[in-house]
Amino acid sequence: MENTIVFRKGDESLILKERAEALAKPLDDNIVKGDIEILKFTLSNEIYAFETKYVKEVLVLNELVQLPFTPDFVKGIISVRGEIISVLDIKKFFNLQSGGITDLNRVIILRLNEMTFGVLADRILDVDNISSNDLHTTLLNSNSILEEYIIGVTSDRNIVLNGFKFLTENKIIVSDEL
Amino acid sequence: MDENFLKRLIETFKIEAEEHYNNLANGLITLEKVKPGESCFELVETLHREAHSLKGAARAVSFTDIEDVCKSLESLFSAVKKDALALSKNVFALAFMGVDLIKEMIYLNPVEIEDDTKLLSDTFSLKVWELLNLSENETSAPPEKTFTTNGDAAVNENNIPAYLELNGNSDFTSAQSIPNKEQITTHSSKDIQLQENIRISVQKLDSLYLQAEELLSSKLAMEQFSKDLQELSASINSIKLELNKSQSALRRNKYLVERQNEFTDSFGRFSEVIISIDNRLKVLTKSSVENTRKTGIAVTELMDSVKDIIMFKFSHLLDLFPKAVHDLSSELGKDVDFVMSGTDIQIDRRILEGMKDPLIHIIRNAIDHGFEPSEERVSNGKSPKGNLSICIKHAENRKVEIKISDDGKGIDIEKLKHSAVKKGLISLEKSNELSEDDAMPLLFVSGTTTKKIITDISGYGLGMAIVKEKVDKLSGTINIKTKPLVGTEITITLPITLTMLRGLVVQCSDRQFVIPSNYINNVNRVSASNVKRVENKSTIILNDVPVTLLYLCDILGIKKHKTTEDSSFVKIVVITFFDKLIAFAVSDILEEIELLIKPLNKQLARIKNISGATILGNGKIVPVLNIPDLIKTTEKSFGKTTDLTLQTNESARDILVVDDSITSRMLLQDILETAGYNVKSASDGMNALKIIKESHFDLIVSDIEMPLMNGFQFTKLVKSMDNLKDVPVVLVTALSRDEDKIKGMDAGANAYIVKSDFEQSNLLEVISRLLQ
Repeated sequence: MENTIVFRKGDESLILKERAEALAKPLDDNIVKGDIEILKFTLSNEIYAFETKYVKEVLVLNELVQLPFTPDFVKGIISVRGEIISVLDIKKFFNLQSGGITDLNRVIILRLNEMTFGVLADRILDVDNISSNDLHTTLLNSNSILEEYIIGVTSDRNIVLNGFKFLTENKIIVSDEL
Repeated sequence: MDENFLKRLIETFKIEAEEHYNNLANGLITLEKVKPGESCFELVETLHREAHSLKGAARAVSFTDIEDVCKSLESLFSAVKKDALALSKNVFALAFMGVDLIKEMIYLNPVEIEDDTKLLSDTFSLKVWELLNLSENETSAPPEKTFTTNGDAAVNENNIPAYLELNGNSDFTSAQSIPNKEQITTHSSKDIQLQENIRISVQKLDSLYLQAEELLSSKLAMEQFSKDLQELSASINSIKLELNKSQSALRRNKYLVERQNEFTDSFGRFSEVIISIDNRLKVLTKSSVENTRKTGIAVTELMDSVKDIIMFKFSHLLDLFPKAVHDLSSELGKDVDFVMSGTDIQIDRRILEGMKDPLIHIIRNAIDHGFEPSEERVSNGKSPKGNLSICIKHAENRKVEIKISDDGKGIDIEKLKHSAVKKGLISLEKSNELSEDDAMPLLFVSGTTTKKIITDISGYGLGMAIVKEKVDKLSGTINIKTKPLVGTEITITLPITLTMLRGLVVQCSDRQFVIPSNYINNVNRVSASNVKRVENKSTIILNDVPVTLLYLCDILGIKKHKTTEDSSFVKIVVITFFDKLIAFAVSDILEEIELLIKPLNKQLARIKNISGATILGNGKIVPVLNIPDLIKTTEKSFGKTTDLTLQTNESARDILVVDDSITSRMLLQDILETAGYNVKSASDGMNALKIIKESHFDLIVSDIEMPLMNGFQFTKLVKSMDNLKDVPVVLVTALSRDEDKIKGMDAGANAYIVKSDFEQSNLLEVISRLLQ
């Protein structure tokens, strides 16, 4: 028996091509889980999410100090390792009725460059991967303010918020001159 | 060459060039002061060397234009050095021209230099060449050799000791008494002052500083922790005592004799536990206290060294001044002798930076308005040359005192009062009662009100409100003394470092706030029967003077909880703001703390009445009140009722609105018409001038950024016209920078309202005041 296998000229490139194709295929995981990593949380019985790339950390809300002369959506300030960070209620920011019981004992700290603030949440659910193809924007016609701040809604009705927009939006900055 | 490297190289060159430029400019000024007969060889030598070094540096980065100018300067100085050229006015003019050219070109890249500048620099070189060739024909050059050796010897032998002497001399005023010589020696000694230095970016230092500051709050927390442990230890001790008492009581109790054994066992076990807890706690407390002490020392030392790093000499800023004074006074045709002392004193870089504009402003005022013309000076028995000085001294409590004095004509108090009355700031009767000292705060007044009315009160007062605001921000104080014909002396006292304020923690209903101690006059408790209501305001009598009493809860909009507080007394914190006292009633006064104000995060860019927050030893966050804001807020709420009446009186007045944006124009027009004014509008300055000529206006409201003719130019024009100069001009603008405010004032505007704090009431208030 001959141990060596003799290829014809064309075979070699065929095999290489096959290998290349196999390597070029995305891993199964990615196909299932998608390209956007999100942090899911609840706010009065609804599920919202931020892209994790804007989430710096999640904290348990301990002491929240209220500030006078701030808009309704600014709930107060907390100290995160000595740094003063404001905490916002996004429902108030959107002027949404807060239906259902809220707990609001978690703070999601968002950060982009210099800008940072916390957002109140009832419960942190989990981190998930979704595909951008899975995000629908057609469902949104109820609240136009909300629409600006949303990337889309997943098929299981998780509302993915636009962290970048939040962090770069001027409306969210409080700048009160006398 | 690597592009990044080249960039860095050019950056470095610019820093270096700036130093050379400063040395050249200051050297020239000192040289100009040297009296005939005195030796100026060393000085010229230094100048020559500076020009030479800059030439080399410029060549390295191919800044050929600077190189050329330096080359000419070098040959100019070299000729002077060789006595081939006399130091005539012409030579100075030429040298200054060269130095100015350098300044213009340092910050530009070679390609960015404008043709005009290039032309000018060519003319300069040509002129130098002409001058040198002329002089060569006239005088014969003395041998070069002897002078060079002399020069070297002079540098080596004379200057080093001179420098050391000056350094060791703590009394700067005495060093200053022989200005020319000292200045010459310090100057040329600059090159010898070769300490080992490295350049570190400011950001890196700042971040280091912040980190060290962070440790400070850990230190405070540890102190609190030790205190808690000690208290815990004390309560365990009292349990122990109680236990002993019960035990002996038990023994004495006859009725319990039968069951005593049972109790004794139980008590025994109990004591054992308590004693072991007590022992462990004692050890813990001891080590905690010890650790706190050690950490405390280490942190304090670290803070001190870090602070030391960010300390800069005043000369860092003031080295620019002689040249600036020289330029400005020659521009205004005034002859001014300018001296500085104490510029070696160090201060926090951030404070120094903050003082730059105020100091420049004060100096400008002094030269522009303070000094009378030479003939007038002579007839008043003064020297024809004006004397201006900046004297820096250490003061008590880690403070620095900057004294700026001039021997000009002083501030005209009567004019100041008159102007204040005209602006509606005080009544005529009140102004007559004011003594000279009492009237002085009027200079700053526009800062105290929210009205932002510009006080063009006396020539001197321009922008003093802004100066005062800056000094306040840096926790400093400012004081002005003036005597007609004798001169004016402005004293600014500043802390050496910014940190470590003290603050008072007060309770307001269920919330806590900190009031910075530097505003607090005293803390008091007054009987509730002492509170009187006068015209809607509560007042109390303190030291026989009625003082406005404000309830902090009300101002901060905090709901009052029903408490068990003793209502027969009111706890008050008395604030001094400018010359007045205001009492704030609070629910409770808790403690005075070392205050480390932390900024709020960027999302809260600015909040009314709150300047930041601090973290107490127990970890609690407490907002820090912004007292100037708070005063303004309260004044605003008082002003409201009077405003309405004013508005109706003011109807049927004619106002011209000038704004290039149609939206703003309409908005302004709408606001003003609603208030009952007759309004006309124009789209820019040119257009406005046309309309003004056609009809009469009582007041003009103008934007700044407009095409064709901007608001500053427009205001200047209006104010220069005889029939219009009394018409008040209000600038409404998005430019909120201080220099713009000053520009606006210099143009002659009567008020300056920044759009970001543009509220209808504010604008209307200002207008009705100006129309009074």
